[in-house]
Amino acid sequence: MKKYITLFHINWQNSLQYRFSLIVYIFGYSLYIGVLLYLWSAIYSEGQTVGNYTLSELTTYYLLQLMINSVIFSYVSWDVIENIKDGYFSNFLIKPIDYYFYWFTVNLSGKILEGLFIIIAVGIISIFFRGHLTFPGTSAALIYFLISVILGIVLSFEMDFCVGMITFWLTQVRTFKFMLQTIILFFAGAMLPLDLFPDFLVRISDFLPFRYLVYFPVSIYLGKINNPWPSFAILIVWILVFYGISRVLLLRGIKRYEAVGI
Amino acid sequence: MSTSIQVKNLSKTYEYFKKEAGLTGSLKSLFWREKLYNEALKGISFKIDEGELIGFLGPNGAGKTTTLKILSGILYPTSGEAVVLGYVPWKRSPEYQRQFSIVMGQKNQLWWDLPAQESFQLNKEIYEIDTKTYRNNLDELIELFEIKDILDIPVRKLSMGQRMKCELSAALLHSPRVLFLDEPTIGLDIISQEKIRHYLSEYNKIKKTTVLLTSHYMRDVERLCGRVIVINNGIIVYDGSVQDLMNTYGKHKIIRLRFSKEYTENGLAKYGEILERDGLCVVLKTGKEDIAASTARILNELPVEDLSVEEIEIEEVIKKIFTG
Repeated sequence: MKKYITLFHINWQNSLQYRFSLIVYIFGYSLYIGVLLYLWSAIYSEGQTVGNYTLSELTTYYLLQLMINSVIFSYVSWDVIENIKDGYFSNFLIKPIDYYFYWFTVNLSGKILEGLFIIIAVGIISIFFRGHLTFPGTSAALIYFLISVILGIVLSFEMDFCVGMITFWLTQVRTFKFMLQTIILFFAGAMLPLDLFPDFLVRISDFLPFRYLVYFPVSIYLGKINNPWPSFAILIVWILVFYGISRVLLLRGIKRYEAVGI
Repeated sequence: MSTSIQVKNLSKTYEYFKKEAGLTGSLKSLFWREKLYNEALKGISFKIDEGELIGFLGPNGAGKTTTLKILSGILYPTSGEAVVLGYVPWKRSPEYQRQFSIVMGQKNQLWWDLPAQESFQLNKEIYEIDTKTYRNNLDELIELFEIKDILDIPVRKLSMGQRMKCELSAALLHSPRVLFLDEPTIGLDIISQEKIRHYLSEYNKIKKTTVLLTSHYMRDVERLCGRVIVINNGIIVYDGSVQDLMNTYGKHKIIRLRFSKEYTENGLAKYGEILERDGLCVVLKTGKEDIAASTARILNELPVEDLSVEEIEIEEVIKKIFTG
C-alpha cells in the first residue's frame, strides 16, 4: 500500500515540475470558461428555457461538463499504449508492483491535482457569473455529486485502461481511441444533455455505462435526481465489470507480451 | 559455492508475421498473413555460481538479450528450464523480484523529469526496504558511484554516464543477489565506460553479487569477467575463462593507418597482415606482442598522418571460433 502512496505524491511532484505550464493552464482555462459563459448569457435572455433546462441550468451543465472532462475522463491509455509499444512495460514485470494499480494511482493523483486547479480557476470565474449559474439546492445533492465524481473517475480509468490494453494485440490503437472517445463523449452527455436527445438515443444511453461519466453527476448537481442510490448501485456494478475486464485483458496481454517481447 | 543460475536446454522461438512492402502488402495482410518463426535460442545450457561475474558476449541478435529477459521473467521460453536463486523466473513471484535487478543500457527506468533521488525513494517502497537498510545502501552507492552532487538534478539533465550511474544505483538499492546488465556501457565515452566497469567490479567484489552482463565490447569482458559465455545464432559457442579465449582467439590487434601522401609500395606486409587497403587508408592485423614494435616501425618508416590501435571486434573472435 505504501508504495502506491509514495507513487501518488511523486506523481504530484512530477506534475508540478513545470510550473509555468500550470499557470498557463489555469489562466487559459479561466479564459476559456469565461468566454463560454459570456457567449451563453449573450445568446439567451433571462427566463428562456431549452427542454427542461433554464438558461442558468444549461450554462451550469456545460460548465460542469467542461470541468468533468478534465477531472473524470482518464487519459492514461496514451501512456499505456506508449509503455507497451516501446517496451517500458517490461519494467513492471520485473518489479513487485502491480501494473493496474500503478496506473490507477497515477491517474487518481493526477485527477485530484487537476481538480484542485480547476476549482481555483472556476472559483475565480463564477464570482463574475454568479447570476448565470445554478448551485446545488441541498448539501445532500453536493455530497452525492462528489461521490458520483469519484466513482466516475474510477469507471473512466477502467474503461481507458482497457483501451490501452488493446495495444497488446493491435499496434494502431490511437485511431481507435479517437473514434471511441467521440462516441463516449456523445453518450456521456458531454455534447448535449441526454434528456434533450431523441427518445431512442435516450434508451440506448440508458444501457451504456457512459452516461455515468457526465450526465449522471451533473444531473445530481442540478437537483434533477432526488434518489441517486439505484443509479449508484448500477454504477458500482459497471465498475466491477470493467475491473474484471481490465484484469482479464492485462493477464492475457502479459501472456502475449511474454511470448513476443514486442 | 552454491549455484545461482541454472539453465537447461533453454529455447525461444519468436513468431511473427511476414508483411509485404507497400500499401498492397498491408491490405493483403488484413486477410492472409504468412507466419514466420525466428529461433532466438536453440537449447542453451549453463550454470553460474553465486558471486560470479560473467560476461555474455555475442553479436547483435545472437540471443543475449532474449536470455536475460527470460531469466528476469519478462519472457517465457518455448521450451527448457531455468532456475534462478531457486525460483522459476517467469512465474514472477515477488520473493524472486525482490532479489534480482536488471538494467538495460538503452532503457530508462528512472523518472525522467524528477531528480534520481525521487525514483530511489519509490524503489525503496516498491522493494519494501526498511529505512535503515535503505540509508546504508544509499550511502554506500553514493560513495561508490560518486553521485552525491547529481542526486538533486532532474534525470533528463544528466549526461549519459551520470544517468547510467544513477540507473545502476537504483537497481542496487535493494541489494539484489543477482544482477543482469544488458549493454551497460553502450553509448558511453571511453572514460565513462572505464568508470562503469570499475564500479561494477568493485561492487561485485564487496557484495559478492552474481552478475551476468551482456556486451559486444570485448573490453567490458576482458576487464571484468573471469568467465565468459559466447553466444551466436542462439547457440553457445564458447564457455570458459576469458584468459583462454584471449590466448586462443584474441592474440591480434588491428592497426588503422592513414597516409599523408599516396603510398603505393608493396612493403606493407612486413608490418602485419593487410586486411584492407583503400587509397590513403590501410588496416593491418598484427600479433599482440608485436604491437609496440610494429607501431614504432610504422611511424618511423612510413609517411603516416594518423594511426590508431584497436581491439579485434567480438565478431572477429566469433568468426574465428567457427572457422577454427
